Amino acid sequence: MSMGNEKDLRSMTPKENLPEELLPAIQCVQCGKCSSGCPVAFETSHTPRKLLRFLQWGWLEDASRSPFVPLCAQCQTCTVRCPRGIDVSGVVLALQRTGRARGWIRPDSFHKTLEEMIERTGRVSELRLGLLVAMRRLPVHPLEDLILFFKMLLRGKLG
Amino acid sequence: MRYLYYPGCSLKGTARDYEESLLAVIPALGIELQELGKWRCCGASAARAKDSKWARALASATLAIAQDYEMDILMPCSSCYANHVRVLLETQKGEVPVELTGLRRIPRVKHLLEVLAQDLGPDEIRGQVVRPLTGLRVLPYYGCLVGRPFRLGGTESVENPQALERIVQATGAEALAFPWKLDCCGGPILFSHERVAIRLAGQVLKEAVRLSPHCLVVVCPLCHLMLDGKQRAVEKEMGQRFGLPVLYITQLLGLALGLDPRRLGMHRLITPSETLLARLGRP
Repeated sequence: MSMGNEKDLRSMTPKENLPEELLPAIQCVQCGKCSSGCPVAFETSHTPRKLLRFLQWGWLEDASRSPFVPLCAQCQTCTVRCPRGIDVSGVVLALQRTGRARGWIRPDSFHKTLEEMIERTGRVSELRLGLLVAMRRLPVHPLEDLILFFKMLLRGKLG
Repeated sequence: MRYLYYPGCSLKGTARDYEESLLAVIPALGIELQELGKWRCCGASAARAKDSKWARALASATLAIAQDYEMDILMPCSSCYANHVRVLLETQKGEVPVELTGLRRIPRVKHLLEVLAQDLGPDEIRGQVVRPLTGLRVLPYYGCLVGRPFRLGGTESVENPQALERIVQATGAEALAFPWKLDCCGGPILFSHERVAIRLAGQVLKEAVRLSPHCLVVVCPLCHLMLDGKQRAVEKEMGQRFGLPVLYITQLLGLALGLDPRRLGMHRLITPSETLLARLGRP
């Protein structure tokens, strides 16, 4: 699916395209308050405001595949600041759920591991979680993380 | 005052010092705690991203177990707290999950900070302080979920809460105004976007040291992991040395109550706190 101007906006029928939980996004007035306060917006070209715009146009798949969706830290700043009362962080999570249900996006290895752990045991073992994630992907600061691992172990913080 | 204590996964793991200091301090303040034995994980950041029903089921499971105890639930972790409050609010709006239908009484959920600042109150705490932390410059850091999107205790501001400042002042310490106190620590995306997460924590630490505090005080295990545990990685990434001790609010309170630093888990902090303890005459 491309994201160019070739889309015929007049043919878009957002309300029919969107799942019910995403309908509040249509109320957005594009003021940008969500994006100016967003701590991770500097990392991608897509801001929360842009995602809401996509939804207003009915571009559900584009919104869901946006690089912003997995980046969002769920800090809730946009949600408490939206003058239209849209739960913007909730919209981002709903996009994640929709995208996963429709096979557009997949959870990263960390979330996959976390989900499996909660499903299986009902609780999270941070030691196992950390090790499993580290095994699947080399950490950015291997030396610092190794030192941290031993420090935590010595201090009894790893179970 | 009695509460049902829900520890959550972190307090049994990386935030063991949070649990130790909490279990030492809260009874010392005259609050009775009973640990909920069969608690379940709140779903962390994973459940809501996958399936709303699953997220509701996880939080509801704990609430359903807790109904027998006739007590409010105390949660020290901001993420557990927010996940459970969300389900409670949805229930009030009429979206009652199957797990909660037909419950006699749905328990209330309170964050530790709410219990300290509102139920107990700073005056009560001040009255019990035996070693006032006079002259200590403390930076209160809330992070996200304790005060956002749900107003702490239903009354605190979402943009400038004061609950933590009131507790810090009750210990005799100085609570510095910290404009970055509600900024994200990056914790939730540490394992998926590590560099971004480290940069967010770095921003907080960088702005913090400019105010030359003696320590930062937090109320969330994930904030603590990012600001204390990952501080070395952050220093490397930012090319700046911080060396800033990060304490849980319960550790700060414990010091003011004259409790032994070991009982408060101070020896488990990753960023050394020796200078801080020496300053307080508590080596």
